[in-house]
Amino acid sequence: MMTSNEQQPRGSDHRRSLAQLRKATLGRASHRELVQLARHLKWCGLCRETYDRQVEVDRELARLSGAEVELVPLERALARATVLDAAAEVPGGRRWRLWVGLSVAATLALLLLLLWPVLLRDDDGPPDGRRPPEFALRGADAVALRLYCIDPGAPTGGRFRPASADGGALGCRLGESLKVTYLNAAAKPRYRYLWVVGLDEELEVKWYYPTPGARSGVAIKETRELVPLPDMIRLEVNHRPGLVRVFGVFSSSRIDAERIRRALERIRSERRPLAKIRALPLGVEARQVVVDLRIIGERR
Amino acid sequence: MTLLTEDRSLLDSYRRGDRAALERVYDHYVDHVAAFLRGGFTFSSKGETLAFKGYRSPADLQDMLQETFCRAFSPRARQAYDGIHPFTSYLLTIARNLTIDRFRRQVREVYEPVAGGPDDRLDGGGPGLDGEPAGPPSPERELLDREVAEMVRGFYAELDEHDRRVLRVYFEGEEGQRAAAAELEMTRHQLRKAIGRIRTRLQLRLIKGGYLARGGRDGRELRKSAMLLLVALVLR
Repeated sequence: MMTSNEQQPRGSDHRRSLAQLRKATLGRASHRELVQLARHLKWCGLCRETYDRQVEVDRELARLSGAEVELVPLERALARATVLDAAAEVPGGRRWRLWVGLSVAATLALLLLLLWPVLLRDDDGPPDGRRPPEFALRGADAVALRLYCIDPGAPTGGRFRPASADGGALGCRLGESLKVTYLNAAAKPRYRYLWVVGLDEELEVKWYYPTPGARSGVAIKETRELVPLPDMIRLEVNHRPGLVRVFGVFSSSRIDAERIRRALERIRSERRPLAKIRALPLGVEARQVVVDLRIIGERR
Repeated sequence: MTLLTEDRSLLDSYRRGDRAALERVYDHYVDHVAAFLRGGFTFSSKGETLAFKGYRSPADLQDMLQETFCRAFSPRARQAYDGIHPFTSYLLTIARNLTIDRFRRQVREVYEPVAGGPDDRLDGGGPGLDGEPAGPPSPERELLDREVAEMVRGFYAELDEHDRRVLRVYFEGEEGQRAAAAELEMTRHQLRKAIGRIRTRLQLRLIKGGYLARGGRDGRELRKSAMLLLVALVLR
């Protein structure tokens, strides 16, 4: 695993982007806001869904009003701002900005080190989850796992890329890293712990969160926003090309590692094909979410 | 679609990367690229003919639009364009290649083998094959889409003829707004305000219908908008 704090989605970014999306929909977003929004949309699954819905609404409205358009104003403005912003970057300017960026990053790193104990406090809203959602989808009243590929070579700054979506056959390359995020918006029962494990086509187990030595699952908070789990998973370690079925086990009470291990062992002993494994046979009350991840690369 | 081949000074400005020229090129070609990416095309990969059925998600379409134009506006691509062949073909080739690269990375869209041969129509004519949505949407998604479409239709049905006209002008873009504002006997500022008012009403309708939730700062802003709307209606 490797750590990369700067790439984790932050709650404040998320809230800002949803507000920007609303402004953009009303045609009130500035050029800078549009560029920021486009960057955020690259990796934020929930915002992408909201954007999709908003565009669909506008397309329907355009159709009803008799306007024959290929793109609605929101789509047009967003792409325009991003493209012109990228084109304005000249190589010399980029080099200069790189130096400035590096200096700022070094200063920030120093500050971060000094302020680390303060930053460790969880002040991302009230702990009881009373913070109302902003412009969230109605369908978000649930639990979910969302996976993202981290692609260092993607153009237009799109390093985060959705690796999973409802009903989609998506995937990451073997050289990429995987970022796991969760949504925990179920009203009843309330889930407090999460295990994330995977099985590949050979039924080899992947312990993602937490490590198998942990006493129970990762403690999670109630949220209508996607929350990233720490660190990233380097797919070139312990993975091979092919399908990995990722299980997210949300539970109200602690489930110990031994129970997870037994469930996985039972599946392995039955030797059922991966496609037929819909849940882990845990024997305790838990909500299980299954996400398929295709890893793309050359088979050795 | 021959803007750059006919206007040599614009071509020079494009090659230099002048912002105004890039804006003009973008505005001129973006619809065509969007139609191509939504419509899809066929191509060959490892001896197999595959059909890309077009981007069904607006967010994916947005990504590819951005990537296509970013690539076309890069210094290298600007210099590489010969100024003789149609720029549309140049753009669509970029869009096509980026989409195929994406396919090779097996990222998102659904592709399937087809019986016919590959379609390499990039002559600046049609935007590729007529596409169907790639794979059926989930029942939940279908239901939500239906509900929303119904809500939007209900909203539209309640608009008077003037507001419908305003909406149409809004969707048809900036250029038509000047002429339309005059025709509607409104200034452009009044027209923009009218568009904002209608859009806000729709947002409120969507929230009231449960399609979008509100809260926090957004909720306050929307309440403020609702109050302003109420005041405007009373004054009217």
